[in-house]
Amino acid sequence: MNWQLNWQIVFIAVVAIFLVMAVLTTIFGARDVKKFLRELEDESKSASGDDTTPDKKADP
Amino acid sequence: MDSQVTDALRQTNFTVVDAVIVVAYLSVSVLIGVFVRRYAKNMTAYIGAGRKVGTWLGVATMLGTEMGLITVMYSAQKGFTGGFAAFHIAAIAGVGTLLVALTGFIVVPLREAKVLTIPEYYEKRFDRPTRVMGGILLAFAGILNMGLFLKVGSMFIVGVTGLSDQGWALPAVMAMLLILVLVYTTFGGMISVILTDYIQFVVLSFGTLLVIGIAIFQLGWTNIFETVQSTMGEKGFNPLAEGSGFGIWYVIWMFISAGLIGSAIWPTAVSRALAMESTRAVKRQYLWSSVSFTVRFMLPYFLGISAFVYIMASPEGADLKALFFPEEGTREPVNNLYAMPVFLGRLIPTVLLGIITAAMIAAFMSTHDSYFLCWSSVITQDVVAPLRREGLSEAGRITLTRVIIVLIGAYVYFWGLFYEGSDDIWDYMAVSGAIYFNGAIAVLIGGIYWKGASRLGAKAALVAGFTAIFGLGPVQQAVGLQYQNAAGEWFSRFTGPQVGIASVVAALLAMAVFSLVAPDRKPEEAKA
Repeated sequence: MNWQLNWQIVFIAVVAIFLVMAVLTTIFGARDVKKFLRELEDESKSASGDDTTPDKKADP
Repeated sequence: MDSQVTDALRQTNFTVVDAVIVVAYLSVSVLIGVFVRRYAKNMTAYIGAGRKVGTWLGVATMLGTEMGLITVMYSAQKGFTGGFAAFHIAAIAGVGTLLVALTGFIVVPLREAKVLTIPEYYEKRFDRPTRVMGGILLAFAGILNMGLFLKVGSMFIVGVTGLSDQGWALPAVMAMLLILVLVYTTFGGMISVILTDYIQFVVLSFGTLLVIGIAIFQLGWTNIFETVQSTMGEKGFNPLAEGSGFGIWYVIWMFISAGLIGSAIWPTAVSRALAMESTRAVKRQYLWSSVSFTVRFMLPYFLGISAFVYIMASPEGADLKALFFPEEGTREPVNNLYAMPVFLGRLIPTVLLGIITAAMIAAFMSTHDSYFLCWSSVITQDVVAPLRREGLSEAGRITLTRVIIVLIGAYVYFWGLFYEGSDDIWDYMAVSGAIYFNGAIAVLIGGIYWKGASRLGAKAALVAGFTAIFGLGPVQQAVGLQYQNAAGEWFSRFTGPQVGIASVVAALLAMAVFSLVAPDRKPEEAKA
């Protein structure tokens, strides 16, 4: 087994796949961030009308 | 330090412009933490981000957490000392994560159980004492594991800014970073962590790829491999070669620790799975994260190897050779953790160096806040709350979690200043983490996949897994597992990996044997 050639191929392949993944994650991750914030905002608004949520006794 | 050392370590492209970039970047991160504080009103939101994280954001936050500055530093150190042979760890980590993605091994059942922490699952499956016991072990091992994060991360800042010859610099940077991360984490919890993880992912991913491109351009692709070949020989490529510093036991140990456990059992990774919006999203997150788990090791290894080549074969780095590889009897070598940051400080041009440094500090913060949050929430949720008869309110839990975060912060500051470990940082982390995960893997596998697993079996497995502590150097010296020769050098009778593997086997056997010998009573038997 040629370890040097093996690691060269693995390294190039990993960097190429990671580059594609980084582009996809950057684009679609931004969409997820918007959705995430919108849902938190909605939940925050609905929770503000429920005065038992923040300080209620939780089950031990 | 003599003037040769001082001059060599002070050479850097880091300027005031870079410092301004770093301050601006970090200010934005802290502002995000303050801004999202209003959303962190209950524990599900504070430590689980309300379970609303989508797949791509989950992928970003997974890498944001797992590719922290500590990972970059210890991996670069491994690449610097082990050459390309260290790549096997990255390959194993990637394959392990891929297997978890394809099978849903452990993480999908945990997400289906809708728990916030792993010990919480112990109570659902077994009983409350198992949860408390698991929580104590998990927090102990986790806090011990992160004990060197602050110091090693600060060494990067000190090295890249050319301050490593200044005695005051390291403790000062440690204090500054600690305050920054404490403020940021206690404010927003997991929500702020996830949002800043995304920004960090973008900057760090493209920044690291760019830096690697610059390193290859400056040093030469062929030259990098030829230099490793000429200086290290086959052991610079083959992890099984004699003298490589790895060997078969080490590779097996990596299959367990960096492969399956790193992705399926390690709580900070699992906490990301538990924050996902669905089990389908968990699997997709892990599928992409198999690339992340490879990259988070492999790219820093390459930077460490590049630093090695820069010092050994480049005229610009020749002045560093006498510092990191002094001739025997001349002087003590400079800590090789400094090799990569000093190299980057000379390689990367101004402005880009500021951006990369800022991203690295953000990576540092991201890892710290995740770990602070993880261990403190385990202590709150799985140790303190279950032990209080009168229960603990949501607000009380969040306050307690914040107090524990500050206490852990104080610990990592002083541990970093006083601990004098001689092992590579990665090996220290693998062994200290094993104190928890060796028992946890047996309890989780038994609990999820074997109906016959019993409460006593779970507790016995946790105790058996704790024996991994005998892999730590200072503990081995204390109990006689290491001996000194006439010259005062320490030698191990059993290496950390050998102890770790034995401990995993012991935990699995303990789970099986004690479950068979003392099975849980069925509900109808209990009633009778």
